[in-house]
Amino acid sequence: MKTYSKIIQPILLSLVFLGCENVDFGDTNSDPDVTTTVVSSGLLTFAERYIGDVVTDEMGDLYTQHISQITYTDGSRYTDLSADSDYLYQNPLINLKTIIDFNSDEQYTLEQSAYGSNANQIAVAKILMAYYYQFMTDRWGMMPYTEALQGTENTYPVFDTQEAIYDGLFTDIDDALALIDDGAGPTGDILFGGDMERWKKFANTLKLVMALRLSNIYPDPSGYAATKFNEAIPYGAIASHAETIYYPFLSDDNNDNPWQDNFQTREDYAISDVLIDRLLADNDPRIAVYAEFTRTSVSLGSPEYLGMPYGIPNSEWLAADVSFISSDVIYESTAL
Amino acid sequence: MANPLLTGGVREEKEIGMELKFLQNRFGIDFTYFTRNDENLPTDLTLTGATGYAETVGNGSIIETKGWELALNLAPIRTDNFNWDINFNISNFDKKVIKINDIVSSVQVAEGRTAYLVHDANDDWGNIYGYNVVTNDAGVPLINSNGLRVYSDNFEKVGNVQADFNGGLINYFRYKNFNLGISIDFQGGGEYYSVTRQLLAYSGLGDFTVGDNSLGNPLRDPVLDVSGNEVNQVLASNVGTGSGGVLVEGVDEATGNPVSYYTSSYSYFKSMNRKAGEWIYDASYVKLRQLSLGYSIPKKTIEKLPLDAITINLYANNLWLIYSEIDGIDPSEIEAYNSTDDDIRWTENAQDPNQRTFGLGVKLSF
Repeated sequence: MKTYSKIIQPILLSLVFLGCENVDFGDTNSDPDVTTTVVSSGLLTFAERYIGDVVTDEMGDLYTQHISQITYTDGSRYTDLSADSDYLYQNPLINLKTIIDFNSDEQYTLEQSAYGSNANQIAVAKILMAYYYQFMTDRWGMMPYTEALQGTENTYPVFDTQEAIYDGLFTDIDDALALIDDGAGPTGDILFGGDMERWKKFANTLKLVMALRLSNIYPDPSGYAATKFNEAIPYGAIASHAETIYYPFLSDDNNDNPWQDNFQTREDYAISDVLIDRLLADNDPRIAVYAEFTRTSVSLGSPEYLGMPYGIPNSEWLAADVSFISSDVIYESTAL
Repeated sequence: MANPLLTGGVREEKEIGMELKFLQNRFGIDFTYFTRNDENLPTDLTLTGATGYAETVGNGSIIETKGWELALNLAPIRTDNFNWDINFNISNFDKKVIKINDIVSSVQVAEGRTAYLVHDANDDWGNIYGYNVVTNDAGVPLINSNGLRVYSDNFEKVGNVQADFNGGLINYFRYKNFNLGISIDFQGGGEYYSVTRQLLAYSGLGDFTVGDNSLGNPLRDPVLDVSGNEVNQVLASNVGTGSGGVLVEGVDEATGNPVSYYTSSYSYFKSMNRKAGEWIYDASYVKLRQLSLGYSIPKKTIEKLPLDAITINLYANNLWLIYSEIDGIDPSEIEAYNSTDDDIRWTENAQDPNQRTFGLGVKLSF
């Protein structure tokens, strides 16, 4: 075919490089809705709010079989084992660390002293971190502690042993106590209103509780646990009921006691038969503090306590037939 | 967590092309080869919670793409009364993830029904992850003592979305005032995750959940052992002649020896639910996408009207799925389900099939 020779179009060849220069975008990347300075009073309030979650977590009450579930019994049968700890690192702990970082950095100390003396802010943040870490290691065992909270600086923080964490926390608490000065306490403190005397009591009480937790591992009266315990006493752990530390729930729905929500429209939890039977057998007067008479027994004119059997797979029990958690426990402030 | 060091990525694209026309434009070839290197692309990074943060954005992603496109135009017949034009195109791209960033080697970009779409460093872009069928080295599935296949404890790579080629073929005929267009498109290779198929098995509504087993008895009949007792599963060597159930073959997970069971169809089909590895299919297809028939009213007829032309056009879309691996599931309609990148169509998520549409168009030119 002759026409084959008539190649009309030339070969088109193109080579394209694309690139881009560094450009100054002005304030395009500044978010007008966020603060550009660290308001540590806000960080502290935010961090303290999680205490409300920690002290009202139902898992501990269920697994120690103090309470029992009435209808949906999954939780009391250990089916929810995979709860995770991220929310504590990502919320209270990182905020508290930010308070410490900014109050330790000379560039910011003056600015931060608007929210209380730098030393007192650091002390309070350290005490609260110790509180959360102790809760976490009690619940989950080995945890990232020494290398935690470093953002992208350390993306694979090592897990420390429970022993190392306890050791570290005792030191953290001692450091915090030594830091406390005569300056102003932190603002934004919903627990103690910046009262550093109360913080000292809190720190020493925390030390006391931790020492008690270790007492079976170090039973020696002059051993590790006893030493820490004895250190805490003279410096003033809480000594009377009047000094009990409460988390101050509010009445509005955003800040109220989660336990109250549990009973607002439902009746899912009762005191377990394990606890009731033991209290009855011991003639223990605390039963009236923890539990109420069953509604059925009250309406029949013969009030009695009856615990909800623990961990049964298919429950057909009625809420009226078992002893409820006393309304004092549900509706009043919850002690730490 | 904000990353103050974040910078924009760089795309470097090289393209080489060729366009040839022969025989008074009756035969044309258009060929393009390109490479595209994306470097330092920002990617989301999931951080372990103990860092104090949930995620950040980092630079460092490198993706290399190579591909080619070929288009052929052919006009085999061109006379006054009859024209036939053919347009054919085919393209391929091969996209490889070289690196995600310094911290992670894989990133999840979509989540479906117990399955993920993941990009892995040093692998093809677009991996599907889910629970997989566990096999021995020879690829034979392991069978457990319940007469069911064994699945992986964790998500594994079960497929990849990238096709070997995509393309289309358009035939256009004109005879006098009539014209006819036939449009076909196709894909070769690539895989997708079918949720429809999975739900048909789980619910027992699929036709493949009925029928006879290899003993000639209905699958759904009770499984019987050799003494006639109703059981959930029985070794094939021990099965009663009148037994129902599905024949499940493989190797014993404990001994590694070949084993086969008759297992109740209820247990069998239920066990495959949410095991993405069971429901990965070849995304190859050939589809008659559109047919259109047009008629231009002769100029003479409309001389007196203030119009240049009137064209009437009948068309039909989504006409015929000529080939797909699974009857009734159209791989050309799979979704970018939950994907942060709209381009990545990876799962058929039990959505309604696309509609078949018929239309009539009238075009007036002034």
